[in-house]
Amino acid sequence: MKLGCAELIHALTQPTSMASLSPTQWDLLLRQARAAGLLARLAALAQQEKNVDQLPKQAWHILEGDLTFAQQQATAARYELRLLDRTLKKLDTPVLLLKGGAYVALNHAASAGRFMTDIDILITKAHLQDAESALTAAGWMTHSKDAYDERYYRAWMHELPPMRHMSRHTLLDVHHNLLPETARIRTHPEQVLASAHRLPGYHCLYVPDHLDLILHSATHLVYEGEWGHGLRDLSDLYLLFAPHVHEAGFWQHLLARAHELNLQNPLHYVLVQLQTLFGLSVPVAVARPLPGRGVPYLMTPVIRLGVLSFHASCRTWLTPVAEFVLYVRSHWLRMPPHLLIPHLLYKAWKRRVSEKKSQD
Amino acid sequence: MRTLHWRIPPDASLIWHCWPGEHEYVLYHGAANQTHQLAETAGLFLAFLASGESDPDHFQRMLRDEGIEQPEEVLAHILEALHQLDVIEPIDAA
Amino acid sequence: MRLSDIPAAALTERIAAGLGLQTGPFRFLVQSSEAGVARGLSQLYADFEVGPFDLHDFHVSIRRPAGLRRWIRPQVEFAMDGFSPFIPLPADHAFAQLEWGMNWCIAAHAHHYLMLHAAVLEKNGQAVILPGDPGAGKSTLTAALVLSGWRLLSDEITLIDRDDGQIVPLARPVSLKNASIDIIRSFSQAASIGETALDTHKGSVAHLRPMPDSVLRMDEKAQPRHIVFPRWKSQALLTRHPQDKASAFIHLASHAFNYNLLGPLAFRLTKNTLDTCTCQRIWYSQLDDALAFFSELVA
Repeated sequence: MKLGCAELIHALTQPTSMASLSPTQWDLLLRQARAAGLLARLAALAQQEKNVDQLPKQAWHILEGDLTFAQQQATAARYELRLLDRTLKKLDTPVLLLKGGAYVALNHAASAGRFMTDIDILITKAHLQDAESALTAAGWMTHSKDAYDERYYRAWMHELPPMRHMSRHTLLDVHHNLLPETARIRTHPEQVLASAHRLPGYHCLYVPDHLDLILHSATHLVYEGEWGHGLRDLSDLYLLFAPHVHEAGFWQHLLARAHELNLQNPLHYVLVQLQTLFGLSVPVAVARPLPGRGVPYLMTPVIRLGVLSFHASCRTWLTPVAEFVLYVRSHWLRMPPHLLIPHLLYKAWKRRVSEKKSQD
Repeated sequence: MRTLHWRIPPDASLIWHCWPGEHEYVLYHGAANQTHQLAETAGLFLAFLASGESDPDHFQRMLRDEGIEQPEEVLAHILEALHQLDVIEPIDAA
Repeated sequence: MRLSDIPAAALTERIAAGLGLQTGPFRFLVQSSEAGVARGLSQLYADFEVGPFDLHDFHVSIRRPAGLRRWIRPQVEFAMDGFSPFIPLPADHAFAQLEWGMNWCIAAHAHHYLMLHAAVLEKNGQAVILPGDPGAGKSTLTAALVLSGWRLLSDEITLIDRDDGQIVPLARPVSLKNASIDIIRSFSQAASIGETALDTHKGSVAHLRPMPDSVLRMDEKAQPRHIVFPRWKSQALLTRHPQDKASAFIHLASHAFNYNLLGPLAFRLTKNTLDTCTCQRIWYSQLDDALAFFSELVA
């Protein structure tokens, strides 16, 4: 299957290739990148390669505009981390930054040109209530859309609803596990906390070990119901892998850690996509298919269709089918059946009601 | 009781400006990406801190010398407002 | 090639297939089969340069969404590269919807520029910025200035180039609402006003064609020299009032489209603009008084 976004993926893995694109190729690339949330990432990569002068000025203006925006969000996130550190240090427990927050705090390559919409933190379940009180006192409020959503988070997913700061309007997700408690895969947050590194200059903020950053990102991608950012998430993962792929022992340690945390499946799916789409060199033994069940074989093309669903130029007639499968599956993975069916029915009903309203 | 001393936080990234003939400042707080309008005395206090000073009592004497009325109240208000905006922080006076 | 160089029948076909249009620094690819869009472009964008271009900033379309509403009280929907930021509108608002859509494309994405919510015009090498407060009568004023020899840079979005602080023109049609449509029609014979869209969420809306000179000079940036906050006050004689720059700064920043996105760059660009500009407010009721004031300002 010819890849409609070959130039885009090539630009992500070999940024110097952008210098040889024609204006017509740029026309499509920019639209795809915008739809995928990757304009700022391309801009950051071009800057790193120091070949901005070789790009058409019109293209660079578009890229640079989004990069400035993303950089501003990163600055805002760093400030937010400062304030969170102040608010939560009295709990005397590690606060683990996940994903974007961790990348920004580490000044990691994966934070370059990445839009941050919310901050994700993880603390132990025992401290969840105290954390909610401390955050509420500092101006954070839980931000569920309605009573149903509130119940979804608290009673069924055993999570805090997303929080929003009342004057800064920033968004915060407080987790106590890497996956919802009701998820079919059980994973072990205390092991991630045990290997985490404290951030210098902060009182209580920690970041996961580099292996856990990769595994969490992979898990999040594969459990995601909406795939508009699938390609961007893969790009983040590519950058997370890049510094380590030739390190002695890296792959063994990664596999071993995946087993410890029970996250072999997400890792496998992500490695296949990175290998086939991004050309990441993965040792044969590591990329070997999962033993047993037939379902995982189907998941690979389904996930690929999901990752490539972000723009009309990369969609096929199968894409909506894949999107439906992935949507149902993400809920299936998060929720047991007796909760899943009523939940999906409720969501479908709500969507129909709001569509009808906009038609009148 | 030793007076609290103040400073601009090292990572605050402040830029401020007052146009000639005017009496209010615009302030950009880089770390928080916020922009504010400040009364002249507040802007002067930031310049005071930026020059290496930290003792608010000294600033209060300067206000009195300039003929500013009720300098203690003015200073208290400045400290509260700027601290609230997170553009100044107390330091150990030791 | 200019849009007016394309014969009418061919124009309709080209718009249906996708017509490249240069507006200031932006190249749009505009696609629509709506007759109202073709009429609007034909009248109001006559002097604009058209493609084909290889690289566009925005791919936009005005289309009828699928479903019953294609035929019964038909609606049209604006989309940028398949994404529709607005709800569909009646099909006879198609051209107005395109104009709003193009504004949205620029205001939501063109972060190479600091974008103020203001009109901006130039005469004698001096650009005057008119921030767009309600009750200012900004669009009537802008249209009157356009018809009085002022070069139009923009009626809605003032673009400040991040590299040199200069104003970058768009020179697009001036949007008029309600009473100002007739006021401008009677103001000058030279006023070429497009079809009126009735009962939009802003009332009646129409657009004034920009003068050819403004369009032909859309590559020419301008130096900002004056900021004027106008206020229309019934029966008022024109009076000038001082406006301090610190407050003007806060006003511009809080009404800009992307001030918060640009971080310290936004602060510096806004400060530099205020450094080089005079700053005042005027109250007026008579258009002629206001025009005389602006003439004197740049004399």
